[in-house]
Amino acid sequence: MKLKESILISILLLAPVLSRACGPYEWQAADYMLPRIWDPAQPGNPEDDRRLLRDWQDLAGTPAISLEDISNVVFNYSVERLDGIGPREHIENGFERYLADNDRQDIIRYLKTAKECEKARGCYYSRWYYPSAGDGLSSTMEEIRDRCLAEAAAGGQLSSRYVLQALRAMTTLQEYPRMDSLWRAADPAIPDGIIREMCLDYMARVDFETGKKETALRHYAERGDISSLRFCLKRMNGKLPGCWDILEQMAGFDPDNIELRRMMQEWFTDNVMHRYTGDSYSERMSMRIISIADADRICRICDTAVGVKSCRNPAVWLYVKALALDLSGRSREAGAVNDKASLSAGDDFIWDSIRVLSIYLDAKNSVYDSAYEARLLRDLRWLDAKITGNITDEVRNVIKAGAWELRVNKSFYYWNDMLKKIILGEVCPRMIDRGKGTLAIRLANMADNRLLNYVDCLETKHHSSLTMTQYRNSSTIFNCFDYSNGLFQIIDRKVPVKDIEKYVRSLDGSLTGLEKFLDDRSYKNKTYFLEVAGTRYVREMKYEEAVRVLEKLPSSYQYRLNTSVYMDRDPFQTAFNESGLPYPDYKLGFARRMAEDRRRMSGNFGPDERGRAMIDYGLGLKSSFSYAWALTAYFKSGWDDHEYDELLQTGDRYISNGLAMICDKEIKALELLRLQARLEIVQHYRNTSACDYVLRHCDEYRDYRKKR
Amino acid sequence: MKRHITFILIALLFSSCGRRAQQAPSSPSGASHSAPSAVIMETPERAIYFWKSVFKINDYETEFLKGHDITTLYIKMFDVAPDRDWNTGETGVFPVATTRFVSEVPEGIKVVPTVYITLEAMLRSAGKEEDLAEKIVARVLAMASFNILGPVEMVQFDCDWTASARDSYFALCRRAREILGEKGILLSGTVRLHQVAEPEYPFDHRVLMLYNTGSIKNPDTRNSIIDYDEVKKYLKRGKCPHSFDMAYPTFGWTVNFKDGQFTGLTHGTNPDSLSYGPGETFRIETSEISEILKVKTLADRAAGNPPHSNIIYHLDSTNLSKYTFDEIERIYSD
Repeated sequence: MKLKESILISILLLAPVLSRACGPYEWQAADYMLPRIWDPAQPGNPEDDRRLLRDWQDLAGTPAISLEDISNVVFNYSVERLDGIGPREHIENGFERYLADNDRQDIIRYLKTAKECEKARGCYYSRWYYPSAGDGLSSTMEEIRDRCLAEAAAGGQLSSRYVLQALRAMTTLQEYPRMDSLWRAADPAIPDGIIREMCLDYMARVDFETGKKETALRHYAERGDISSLRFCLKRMNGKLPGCWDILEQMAGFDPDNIELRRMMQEWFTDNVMHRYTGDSYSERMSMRIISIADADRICRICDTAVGVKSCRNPAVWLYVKALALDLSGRSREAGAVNDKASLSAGDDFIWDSIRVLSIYLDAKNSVYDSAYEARLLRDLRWLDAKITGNITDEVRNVIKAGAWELRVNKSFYYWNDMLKKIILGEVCPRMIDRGKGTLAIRLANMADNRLLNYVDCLETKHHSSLTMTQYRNSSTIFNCFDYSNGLFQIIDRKVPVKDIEKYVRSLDGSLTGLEKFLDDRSYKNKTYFLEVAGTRYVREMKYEEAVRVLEKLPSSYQYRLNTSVYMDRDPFQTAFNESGLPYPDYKLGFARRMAEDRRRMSGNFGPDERGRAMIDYGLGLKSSFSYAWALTAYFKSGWDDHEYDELLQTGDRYISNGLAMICDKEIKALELLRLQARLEIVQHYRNTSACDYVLRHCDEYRDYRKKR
Repeated sequence: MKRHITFILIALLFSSCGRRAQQAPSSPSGASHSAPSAVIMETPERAIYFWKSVFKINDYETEFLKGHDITTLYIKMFDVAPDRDWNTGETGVFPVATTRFVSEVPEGIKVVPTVYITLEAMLRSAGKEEDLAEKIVARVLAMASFNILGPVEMVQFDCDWTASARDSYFALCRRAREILGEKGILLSGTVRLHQVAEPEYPFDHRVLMLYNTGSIKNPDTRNSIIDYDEVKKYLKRGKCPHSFDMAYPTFGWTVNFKDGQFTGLTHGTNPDSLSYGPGETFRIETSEISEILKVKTLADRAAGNPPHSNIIYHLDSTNLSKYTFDEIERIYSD
């Protein structure tokens, strides 16, 4: 079997043209999660616990005992450990030492009772619990109740506490009328304070169970008891209440409850954005705009919270209101509310969130004039300081490990996420629409490269530590950043090529404050940009322009491209590349030949010469968008997207017109050989060198030789 | 001569398989720990599932149990699924759709409490299987005790596990089997057709579900409840590696689609009672006796015909009344 070259070429032409290139990714920078309401580092609502511990401190009459020590004994000691409290040397815990030294068996006994009660209640309220004969739980609760009632009736320092435990046990046993009687009797003797308030929490349950539901809900809302509210609302409505059902109840009473911030954060995370879990590639972090009705409800709740006189943090609620307005398509209103938030009382955490939202809304609402650019510079300086100032080892490690999150636009570092969201998601598209392509390039460049350049350390399979320059200059490392990020998408598709060239020229020119700020934080390799521009010209079939730009690049540069491994494919199908090595100056050589073909097609040449040029041009045109796609693209998926079908048909027309134009049979047969039309050659061009070649090299056409 | 030897060898092979399948341990709990192979009831029983959230049986159903000498009732006690904690609002794995007992279990009927465990619950419980097993078993037994369901000899777990949840589910079953074994109770497990090739199951007793055999959401499916051709793909004559009790369907429903996409199920199979808008289509699915019996013949042959119990899904007078007495008898026949 001969004709190895042409057959192999045929196979390659038929093979799917897959590349190793990555991206662009399905997640967009605009998808980053903006709402930032709750600080996970902030402690919960410790107030009740602290008051309870202080109460123990007062009861023991020893302010020297730390609340931490009391907390440890009261909350963490097991019944067994409480049993073990007694005189011994070296008791580290101050409260335990107090109990041992003063032989406070009464307190130890009480704590044990409280723990038993808690454990039994835990079983009762577990969704797994199902009452059954002999489970002992009811009798345990009854025994605890009786013990507590007896101790409460006996009086003493702990009687109020025993009333509290009795009420807890009776709530579990659903003995509401009996609770009412107990409270009537005990009420006058229980002093104001945390124990009384806790007793009233259980009495609110009596209200709820005896028909005074609103009274109960109000009590829980005032006390910030979300758990009880949730329970009662579920009982009333038959379904578990949602975040805003609870907030509706609580916002007017306890707007500073940190738990509410956590709930709102969770709601925005769950309902507005999908948080990528890593379970599925197809799960997209996508913005779901909330309905006007939902947003209005959120706004009403926020207004209620802000209207509470004692509200210490109205900025949080105004921020949430602004978020709701924006997500329901009312960005301008959102801007006004967010401005108000920025002037309201709040904390550093929320003010930072408000500032980010303000930058974001400014990008959405403003006219992009010089005043906006001045504001943008100011805002970017602030955001940049946040990026560099808040960076943690965790963030650095993500970058070092290959920055997968950064590459796929997955949330991992809020400040950088927001830079990308605002710049790539909002500012750049609008800048491009306004014809400010070079500024869009600059902005995208900073948004994509700031963090990478700042960390400037990557680990690869074969290198423990590389700077970004080393990484980018390597001809063996697959560049995962520069040919898939937001900047690349802009220069590869979205701005006119002239803007890329203009940007490159401007790198050496005089710059505005904003431009200089951006450039100082960007990837400024002119060759990178010119190579993309040259490729764009090839893709746009502006071959003379492509030659002009690509001539400026060093020959070696193409080996730094991820696509260099595909540059061994001859777009003109003149010969099989046995070496498998990339052709030198692949794109430049192609552009030159295509420009030359054009000249030969249109110049004063004979029909044979013009026909050959047309075939050459047609083949080059087709190949550059199919088999030799690395001439015009940096990525080719396995999917046939039909984007270039029309160009492929144009290429076919050039080829057929070229063939029709050629008069010389010898020349035509050679061109047909290039086009692998061997049957046509042996049938119609017998006395040509091409036919002779086919018959000598191909078994398939041996019969034709015999006939001859 | 050669042919004779082959025949003898085949006969020996079949007879040894049959004996192994019929072996019942002297002590169920003891056997459950040492022998991985399943326990098959010495005397095949007639059984039926009860799969509603309120246990209330009407006169027809009581008569049905009596008339067909049904001795075992597999009652679904609750589902185990991801849900939110009522107290904390946090998501976890909890019992849901707990059956409320209104009627008493008819005299002479043995109850096998059954728990349906969703795949999602298993996926969420990786690493916490032991704890979950303990909770499930405790609750099942508490329910059986509270509702006076009689002495529990066996508990059944039902889960449509897939490869991703298999290890987790098996770990759960192993722990449950251990706890139940200590009380002398067997663990039964349902097996769907796609799980039939599993080399070993962590149950003492297995029930092969010969229903829900097709993809319900696929508009091209002929009948997702029972389809001989679908079953045939999984069960080859004499090649079923395990012994099973067999469960057959006696229900029907209407599967709804809009623009070719599955939208839900409607109870009832009367086309006249259905109204549909543009783009909406439906597929009425029933369990035809002819199809059930074809599948039964296939399943019995595949299992090598060891004695086994037959179970009907499920005790519901509306569906069961569509079958004659003889048809039901044929399903139960050996």
